[in-house]
Amino acid sequence: MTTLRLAVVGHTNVGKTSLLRTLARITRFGTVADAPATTRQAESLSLFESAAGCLSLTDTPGLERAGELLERVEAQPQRRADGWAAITAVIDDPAWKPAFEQEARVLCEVQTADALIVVIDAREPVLGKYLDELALLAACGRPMVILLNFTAGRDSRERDWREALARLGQHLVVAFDVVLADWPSERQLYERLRVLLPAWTALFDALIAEREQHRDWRRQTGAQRIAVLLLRLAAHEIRVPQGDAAKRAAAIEASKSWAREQEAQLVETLVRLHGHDLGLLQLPELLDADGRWTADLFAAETLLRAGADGLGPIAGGALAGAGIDAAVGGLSFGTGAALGAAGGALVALRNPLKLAWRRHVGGEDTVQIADTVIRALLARNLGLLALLARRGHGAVQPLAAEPAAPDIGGIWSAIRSRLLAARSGGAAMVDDPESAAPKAVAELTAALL
Amino acid sequence: MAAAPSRLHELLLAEALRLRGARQPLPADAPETLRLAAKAASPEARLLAWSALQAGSQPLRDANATALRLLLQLGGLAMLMTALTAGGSLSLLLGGDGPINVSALLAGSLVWPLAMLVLWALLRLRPASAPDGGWLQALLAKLLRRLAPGTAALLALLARGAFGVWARSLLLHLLWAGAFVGMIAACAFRFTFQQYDFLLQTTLLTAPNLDAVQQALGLLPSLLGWPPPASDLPPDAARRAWGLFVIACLIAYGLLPRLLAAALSALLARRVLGRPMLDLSQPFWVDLLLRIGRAAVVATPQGAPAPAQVARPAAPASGPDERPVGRHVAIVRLEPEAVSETRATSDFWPALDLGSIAGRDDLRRVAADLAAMSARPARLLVVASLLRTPDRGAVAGLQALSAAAAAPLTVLLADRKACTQRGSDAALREADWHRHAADASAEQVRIGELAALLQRPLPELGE
Ligand SMILES: Nc1nc2c(ncn2[C@@H]2O[C@H](COP(=O)(O)OP(=O)(O)OP(=O)(O)O)[C@@H](O)[C@H]2O)c(=O)[nH]1
Ligand SMILES: [Mg+2]
Repeated sequence: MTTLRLAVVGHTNVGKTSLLRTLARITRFGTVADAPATTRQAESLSLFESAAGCLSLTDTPGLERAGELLERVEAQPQRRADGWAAITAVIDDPAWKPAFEQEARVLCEVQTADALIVVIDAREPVLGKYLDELALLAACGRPMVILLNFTAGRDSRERDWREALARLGQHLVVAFDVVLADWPSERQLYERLRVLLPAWTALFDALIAEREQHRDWRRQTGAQRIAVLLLRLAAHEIRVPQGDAAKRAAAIEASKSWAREQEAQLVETLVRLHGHDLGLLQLPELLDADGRWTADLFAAETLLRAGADGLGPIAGGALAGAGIDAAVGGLSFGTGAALGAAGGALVALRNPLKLAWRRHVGGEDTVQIADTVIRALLARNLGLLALLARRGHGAVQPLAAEPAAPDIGGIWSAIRSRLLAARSGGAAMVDDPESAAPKAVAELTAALL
Repeated sequence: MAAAPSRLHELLLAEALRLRGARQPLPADAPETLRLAAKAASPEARLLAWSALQAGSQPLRDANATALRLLLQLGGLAMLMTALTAGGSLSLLLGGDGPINVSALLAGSLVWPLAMLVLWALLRLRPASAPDGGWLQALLAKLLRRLAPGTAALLALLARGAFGVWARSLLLHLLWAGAFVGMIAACAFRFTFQQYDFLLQTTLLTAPNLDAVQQALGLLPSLLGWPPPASDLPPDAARRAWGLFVIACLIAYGLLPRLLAAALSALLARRVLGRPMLDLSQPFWVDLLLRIGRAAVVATPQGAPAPAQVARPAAPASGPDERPVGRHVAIVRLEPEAVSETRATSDFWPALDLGSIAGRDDLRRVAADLAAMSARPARLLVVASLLRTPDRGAVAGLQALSAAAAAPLTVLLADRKACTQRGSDAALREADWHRHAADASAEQVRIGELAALLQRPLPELGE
């Protein structure tokens, strides 16, 4: 099978290695550091394989002395007719060889590549050295796409760069930021390359299609994992003899740790799903080493952060108490609202009636996980999902703060009657909602998307 | 003959402009002014041409003329004073009506100049902290400054090496001459209106020996037409002949040599004045010469040299740098966030801003400026931004700059706050820069902003 070889080149510390990580969706490739000359040797990876061919990317060391090298190249007589010959004349000259060793390594990769992705740090002013690099790379005679990196921050000078590049006749420019997994700009990169390399159109079409498919699948799966957990939490219950305080306390503790455990598994699933690595994610303020949220699911602040104003009259003392875990009344998920809905009365009243029956006839209390807790879990894991979907694999910065809880008010009202229904789902619902209530899972997933 | 005074005035004007420019920034020069000045060949001629072209310099010219006149008047006054005191004291000495001992009189006439010589020697002995030119100069300077405010330029010129020496020598010899004029006048007056007998006697010498002494003493006066009196004259004629002989001795041995020495000093001062006089290591001149030099390059038709010829920006000089070391600190901004249009200035140290480097052409220009300075900077201060990742290209740039400047290199790392705001680890970036600066043999690395550095003295200048 034929392979299209792309070399990723640019000044040092502009994010070349990070770009490869983000494009390939892997977090363990090469070394990334905010320092010059981190990458010392060219290193390739296979980005994509299909019937239309393979696509490989090569990471290269950063250029540092391109200006001086270009100066010498410009002094060569054959520079206009044959740029590469002029370059070889200089880099093979024993007098210059040691000075330009790193540059020579890059240029050799460039020479064997089919096309170049030239990375530029768009926060930088348009300095002479960067233009020198472009001129030097242009002299190698390879087709190139220019990728303006670091364009997500406020200090990006994308406009200046676009103008400067247009003046140089470089119009295949893509704005990018490797810490973000932004599919539209990634897609733009592949489209530009497709324009540049018409012989490989089929390969890029296949790549784009595959990446889009993958993206949809990830979104769908992530939402589904969350939906399943919500149903399981809603269905969870432990019955304890009425008046036995010790048993009741034990049941509450057991419910809490079960819920935490389930959430930790969900988090790990979500992270894996996005090709990230819990160890590399470095979320010290967010998740602990085992992937558990550092902010306890049952702590009052967590619940408040998840949208206390949506919690209605339950506030203050109740919130500060046991984490509202042992619901005895069972009037949850906005029972009143559900009552008002046509035909909702049966669903809405089933759980409170069931609990009242157990209490007064069976002499048992029922420990359930309160809806505020379920809501908090939904809020923060939806936030995490969005964050993971946006995080580029080249990002190394720890996620400093909990993702701003998305406004889930709308979603919540859409799904709460489903969750209320799940309260009566029994053990089958807790064990495997996907078999017990496939329709509920599908509906919930759709609502979360 | 008119050349010397006009050159003196030109120099004085240039010095006055420099002194004014050091106090308050001058308005930017019209390109035309710089181009015209650039037509002159030597650095000093360029500076003089430039100062001649300065508009509104008439007050400075007037002040210089006043100062010069004042100096001459003071000199005249001092001569008059010495003449009066010397003549007066001799006249007192001759006050009695006894016979005059010729040898005592002649020896007495030497007391005054000898006293002045001793005084002068004492004044030359000066502690290390004394200003250039010793106490005499300092005293004179103080007096002049008190009397006329615009004398700084004149004093600066008088302090300049050989010219100052000969000018002071001229003044001293004129004062001596004045003393002799006074004494001669006193003798002439006394001898005209009073009758003296003159004695030339001996105890130890034999008569022929004394005669020989008298003949030897009379050698110079007799060459000038006043022979020593013969021994066989009648008393009246002898008195007259002795009186004239004493006066002739004072003229021949006192006045004439002083006048000759004064003339020689004047001649030498004039000669020295013709040589380069301005202190080209003054920051103001260094800066101005640079600007004129640039204007000269622009004015040349194919001014820009072909790239191949300048492949190595400011290659390290083959021999040791012969230029004098100036007091100025050359400032270069290496790849700044934004190119600043205003030139950095400081009230605390002589900053000479060479502008920003954003690419190879700038590097070449600044290196050429550094190499073309009439004096090497006391220090080269390169301001680098912590927002830039240091690379081997920056090392090469720093090396080229410090080779061209032939001065110790300080790297000032700026934009620390912006670096942190950008989310970079500023400490890590600093460490990287430290490493690269060390590769470029920087003597010192500082962290801070240039604006803050301009607001206080620079300890590394030893001030
Ligand atoms: N915020 C942000 N940081 C980025 C981006 N791209 C790279 N970085 C960071 O920039 C630094 C340098 O990234 P690298 O991938 O090591 O850069 P490189 O071009 O491979 O560097 P060398 O191998 O040293 O030439 C790392 O700290 C990255 O996390 C970006 O688009 N946005
Ligand atoms: Mg790298």
